[in-house]
Amino acid sequence: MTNTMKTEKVKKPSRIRITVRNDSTFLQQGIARGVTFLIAVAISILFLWMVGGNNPFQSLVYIFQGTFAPVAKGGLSITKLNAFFKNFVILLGIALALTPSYKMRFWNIGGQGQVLIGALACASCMIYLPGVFAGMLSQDATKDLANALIILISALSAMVAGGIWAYIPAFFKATWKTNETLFTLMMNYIAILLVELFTNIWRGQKSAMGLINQSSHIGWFYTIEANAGFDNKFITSSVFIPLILVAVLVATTYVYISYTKHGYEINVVGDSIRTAKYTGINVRHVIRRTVSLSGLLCGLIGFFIVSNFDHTVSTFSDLGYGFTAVIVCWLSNFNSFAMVGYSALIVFLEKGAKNLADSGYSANLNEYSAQFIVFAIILGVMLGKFFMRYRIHYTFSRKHLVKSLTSGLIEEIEEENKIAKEVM
Amino acid sequence: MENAIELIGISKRFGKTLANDSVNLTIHKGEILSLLGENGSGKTTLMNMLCGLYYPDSGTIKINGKEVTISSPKDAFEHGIGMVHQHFKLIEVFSASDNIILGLKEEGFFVDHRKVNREVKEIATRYDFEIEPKKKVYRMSVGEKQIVEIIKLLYRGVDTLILDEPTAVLTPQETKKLFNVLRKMREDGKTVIIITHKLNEVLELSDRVAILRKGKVIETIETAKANESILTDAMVGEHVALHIDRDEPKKDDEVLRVEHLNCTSSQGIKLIKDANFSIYGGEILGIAGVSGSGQKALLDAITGLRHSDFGSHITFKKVDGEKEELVGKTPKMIKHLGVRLAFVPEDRLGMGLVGEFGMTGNMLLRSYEEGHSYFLHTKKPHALAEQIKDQLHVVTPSLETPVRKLSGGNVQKVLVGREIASSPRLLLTAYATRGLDINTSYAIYNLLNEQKRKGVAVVYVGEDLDVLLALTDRILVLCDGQVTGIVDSRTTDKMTIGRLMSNNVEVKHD
Repeated sequence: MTNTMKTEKVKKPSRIRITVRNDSTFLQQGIARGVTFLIAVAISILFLWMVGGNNPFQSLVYIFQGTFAPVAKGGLSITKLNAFFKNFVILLGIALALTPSYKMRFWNIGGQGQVLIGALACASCMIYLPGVFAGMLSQDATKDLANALIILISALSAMVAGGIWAYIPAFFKATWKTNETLFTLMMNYIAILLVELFTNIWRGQKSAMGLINQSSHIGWFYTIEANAGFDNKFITSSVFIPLILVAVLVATTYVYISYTKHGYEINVVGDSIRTAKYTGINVRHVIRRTVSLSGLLCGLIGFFIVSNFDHTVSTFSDLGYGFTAVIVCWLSNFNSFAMVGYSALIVFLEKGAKNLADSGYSANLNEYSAQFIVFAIILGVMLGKFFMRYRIHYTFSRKHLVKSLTSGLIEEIEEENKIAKEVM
Repeated sequence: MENAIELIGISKRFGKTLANDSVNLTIHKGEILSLLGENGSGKTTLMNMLCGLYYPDSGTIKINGKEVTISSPKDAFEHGIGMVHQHFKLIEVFSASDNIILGLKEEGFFVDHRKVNREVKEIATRYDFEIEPKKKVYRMSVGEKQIVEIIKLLYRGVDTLILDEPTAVLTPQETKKLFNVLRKMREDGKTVIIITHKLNEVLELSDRVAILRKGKVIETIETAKANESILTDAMVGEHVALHIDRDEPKKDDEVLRVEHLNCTSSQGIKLIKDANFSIYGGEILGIAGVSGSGQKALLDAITGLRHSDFGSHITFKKVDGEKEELVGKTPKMIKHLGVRLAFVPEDRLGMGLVGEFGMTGNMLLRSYEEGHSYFLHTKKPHALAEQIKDQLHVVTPSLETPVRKLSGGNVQKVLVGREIASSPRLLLTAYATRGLDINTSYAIYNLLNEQKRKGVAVVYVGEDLDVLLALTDRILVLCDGQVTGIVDSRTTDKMTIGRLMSNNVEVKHD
C-alpha cells in the first residue's frame, strides 16, 4: 500500500493575485487600451527591425500601403481599396451572422461550413438554372427578368442551405444536448468535402473550374453601371452594394438583439436556461430558430461571395473568415458596431502583411513573419481588454499578502460565500 | 485517549457571515465522531478547513500534537486527512481503480494496473467493501461511487476520514453496509468524522458527538450519555424572540390544495411521498426541513417545473372560485391559465432573474410577450422598475446596471418586488432571506406580511426556525420527502419542529 506521508511542508499562497475590476472609469479604460495598443505596435516595430534588418518604419509604410496605396497620378489605388473592402464585407458579414448564436452562448464555429454550403448552393443555381430558364434568356442575358429570377433563386437557396447546415447541430443540441462546438466544426469538414466534390465534377477535364458563366454573366450579382456622366470607380465596383447591405445588417443585428422579443429571448436563454424555462420560453425552439438564422445569414454571405465577388466557388471561398469572424465577435463583446472596427483592423493588418511580404523590401519578411504583426496587434488589443477588466495584485512581502487576503476583496469573498452556501 | 487532531480557536468569515466562530474541537485517535447541526451551522466549512479547501482566518490546527498548515487538499493528504464530499468528485468515464490512483505521482511512466487492482482488492477485503476495480464509474450506483471515494482515501494512506452527509444519498441497506465498514475502520485504528443531521445515525454509530450551532461548537457529548431529545435541544438552541408583526390569519379561502402529491427524480428516487395539505389566502405557511428534504421538489411541482407522478393533484382556486388543475402543466401553461402564481426561487440569479439585464430588463421577464408588436415594450417595465427601486429602496447606479452587479439584498428586492407587482394570489418563496442582512430580511418579512394582509396565500420555505416561528402562521415540516407534520406556529416550539425534521421514517416505523 502506498503511503504518501512525507515531511511537513509549509505552503504559502502565491504572490500574484488577479481580481475583477468593477469601478474602472472610461478614462482608465481608454488608457489601458491605448497603452497596450502602443506597446503592441512598438513590439511589432522591434520585430520588423530585428527580423527584417531594414528600416522598420519603411516596413510599416508597406503595411499601411496594403490598403492605402498611392498611385502615380495621385490619389489612392482603387483596386487595393476594393480588395480591402471585399474582405472587410465578408469578415464583418460572417461576424454579424454569428452574433445571435453567440449571444445565446451557442458556440457556433461552423461559420465556414455555413458560408461554403451557401456558396455551393449559389454556384449550382448559377450553373444549372440557365438551362432551366433557357427559353426566357436573350442574347444579352444580364438585362433579362429571368436573370433576376436566377439571382433571386440563387440567394434564396444559399440562405436555405446555410440555414439547414446550422439547423442540424442546433436540432441535436436542443434535443439531445450534444456539444455544438464539435458538431458545427465537423459540419465544416463535410461542407469543404462537398465543395471539393462538386468543383471536381464541374471542372471536368479542365485544370481549374474557372468563372461560372464567364461569357454570359448570368447569375452575376448587379453592380451600379458606369455611364458617360457618372464614373466613380468605387460606386460602380462590386463592393459598393454589399457594403451598404452590410451596414444595414450592422444596424439590424443591433436592433434585433436589443429591441425585439426574439432578441430578448436569446439573451435570457444565453444567461440562464432555467430562468428561461421558468419564464415560459420554449428553449429548444429558440435555440433552433436563432442558430438557423445565423446559418441563413452565413449562407447569404456565401451567395455574395460567389455571385458578386468571385463568380466561382472553391474550398477557400470564405477566405478562412469563418474562424476569424469568431475572433471579431469575441473582441467586440458581440456589439455589432464594435465589430465594424475590429473587422477593419484585422483585414487592414492582413492586407498590410501580405503587401509587406510581396514588396520584397526585406528578404526575411515573408508572409508568415509579416503575420506576426497581425498576431502582436490582436494580442495587444486583447491584453488591453484584460487590463480593463482585471486588476493584478503583486505582493512583495508575505505580511502584506496576509492582509490583502483577509481584507475586502469583495468579489472573491462573495464567490466563496456562494460556494459555502452550496456546501453548507 | 490520544488526540489525533486539535482545532484551536478556528474562525472563518465569508463576507458578512461568520461561518465558524473560534471553534475548539478535539478529535481522538480511533473514534467515530459525529458533527451535528442545522443547515448553515458551519459543519461543512469547519471540515473544509481541515481538508484544505478553505484556509482559516485565524486559529491553529494541531495534528498529533504538532501545529500544521493545511492550504490544499494535497497538504491534507500528507497529514493523513481525507474527505468524502457530498457531491462526489470522480471522473465518470474512468474505472474505479483509475479514479483511485488519480493524481498520485508514482514512479515510472506506465501505470501498473494489476498492482493497483490487487491493492484495491486488499483494502476491500480488509474492510468488507464490495468493489469491482475495473468497473466504470458511470455504470455505478451512488453507493458504489461512495465506496470508490472512500477507497481512494484509504489507498492514499489516510487515517482520518471525513464524510459529509454520507447517508443522504443511500438506501437503508447501503447505509447499513457503510456503517459496518466505518466500524471496521475504527477497529483498524482509523479516525472517522461524519457530518450529519440525522439523530438516529448519530446515536447508532458514533462514539462522541459534537454539536454546532451558528458557527460554534456548543457541546461535545459521549453518545452513550445522549438521547434524541438532548441532541435536538442542543442543536436548535434557546428560542430567540424576533419582533416580526403577525396578524391573525383569515383561514376561509383555500387557494391551493395538494392531494397525494408524489414526485420521483429521474434516477428513480422518491422526492415527495404522498403529500397532502392546503394553503389558505391570508396566511403564511412555513415549510421547514433539513436541506434536501423535498422543499425544492415541492415548489417545482407546484410551479410546473417538475413532473408529478400519476395520481397527484394540485388544485388552484382562482378568485372567481373556478378551479384549475396544475399537475401536468408547464410554467408557460400555468402562466396562461390566469392563476396568478408568483415564485421567488432559491437560485435568484440562476432562475428568477437574468444577471446580465438591468432592472428594467428583468421586469420584462414576466411581460415581454405582451402585445402583438415584434418589438419589446419597455415603457411599463421601466416604470415598474422605477417604482420598485423607490418603494423598496433598491440601491443601484441605474436601472440599466446588470443586476448581477448588485448586492444580494438588492437582487432579492428586485426579484420579490417584481413577483409582488404581478399581484399574485399565491406567492411561493424559497429561502427568501438567505444571505441577507438583518435590515433587508426585515424588509422582506414586512413585504410578505403585507401580502398576507391583502389576502394572498404566502409560502415561506425557510431554514431558520426562529424566523419560521415568528413569521408564519402554520409550519409544514418535511423529512425525506414526507410531510411529518403541520403545526401551529403560535403554539409549537423549536424542539417539536426539530424532532419532526429529524424524524427518520424508518425509525418511526420501528
